[in-house]
Amino acid sequence: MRCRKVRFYLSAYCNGELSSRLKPAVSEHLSTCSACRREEAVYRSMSQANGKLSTLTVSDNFNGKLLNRIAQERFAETRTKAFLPKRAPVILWRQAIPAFVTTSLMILLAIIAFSPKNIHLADDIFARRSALNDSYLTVQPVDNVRRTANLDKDWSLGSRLAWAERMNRLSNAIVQQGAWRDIDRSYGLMTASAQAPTPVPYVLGYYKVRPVVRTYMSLESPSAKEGGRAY
Amino acid sequence: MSKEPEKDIDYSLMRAVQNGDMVAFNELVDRYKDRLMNVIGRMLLSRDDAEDVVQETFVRVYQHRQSFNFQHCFSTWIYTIGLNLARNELRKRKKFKFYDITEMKGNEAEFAVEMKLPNRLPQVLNAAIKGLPEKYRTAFILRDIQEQPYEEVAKILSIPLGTVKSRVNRARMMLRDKLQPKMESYNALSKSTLLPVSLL
Repeated sequence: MRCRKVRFYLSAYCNGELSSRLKPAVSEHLSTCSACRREEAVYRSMSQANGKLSTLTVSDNFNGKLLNRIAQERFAETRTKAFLPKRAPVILWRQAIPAFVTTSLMILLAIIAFSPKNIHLADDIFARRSALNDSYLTVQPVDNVRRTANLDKDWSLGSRLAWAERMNRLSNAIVQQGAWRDIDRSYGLMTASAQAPTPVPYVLGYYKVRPVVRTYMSLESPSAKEGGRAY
Repeated sequence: MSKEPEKDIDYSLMRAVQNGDMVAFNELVDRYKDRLMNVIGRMLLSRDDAEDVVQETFVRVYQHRQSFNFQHCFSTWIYTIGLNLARNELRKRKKFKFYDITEMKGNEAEFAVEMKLPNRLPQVLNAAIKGLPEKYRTAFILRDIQEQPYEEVAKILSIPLGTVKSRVNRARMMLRDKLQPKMESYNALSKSTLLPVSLL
């Protein structure tokens, strides 16, 4: 083994860390090479000195200081666990004023709504929502024509359109033949529509403003044939 | 061989600490404070800073006691925390450079040390260790001064085993390079004088 290689292994050799395979080769080289022996001596004295190095120790009151800090840590932990605030909450006027105004407005509205004068408002609201509302047991006046028409089991869009078409043709025929004057005379209800001498084109929403025509022709309407439902 | 009972003692103490036993924590501090100081004191060079770092290490151990993994060695864990904190401290120092007035009068002290080399070799070695680069110094301190096995040093420093071996070897070679000229000049001096070595 050459000096360069031996010097690489020398520190491990002196600290007893070299494998048994390499150890004899290094020992053999050291017995013949004085320069490497000098290095070996340095390593040996170094490893001896390592053992003699002064041990650094902490100061005497180290434990006391440390336990003080740990006590602070424990206090911090407890405070976090208990959800205690770190400082008293500060309420800013800027934040408090809107909240105050909103609350007082709500109180005011509640007083107005539930005052004896307006109590029927509240009654109405509660009566509508109440589970004790038994109005379904008695026949109620129909207040929504469209909804009632839709409830008819034989209702269909085709029949309604056909009926509307027929009505349109009839009303045009009436207007053209001058029969509207008789209608006007006998019922006194067609005054507004009688002003229009020309035939009116069919528009889907047109009959909404001419309920009287529907009443007049109700005997020929499909629902009149079926059971005499009059709107 | 003596490692296993040591490990078991650490584990039982750590379990007690996890259950809030402060006496166990105090015992743990007593077991490790000097070992940590020995490593961190040599890393940081200033005694007060080293003591602060050791204290901070124990505080961190307390704070994170519940996250300790019993599959690992307690000593590895605490050394890792301590060395990381020491490294942070060293990094901070690079930003702000402090000068110690006791280091300013170094020359004559060093000369006096060299004149009595055999007796003062540990001090000379200590000074040489302080001059090593940080990564070699840490590995050398853990292996040769703290006498930790290579495997544990590798775990503490989170580097491969081969790297630890090479760093320790390199550190030893650097120290030899520093010490050899001084020792040889001393030997030459002592040979040229007729006085016995002990009188020098």
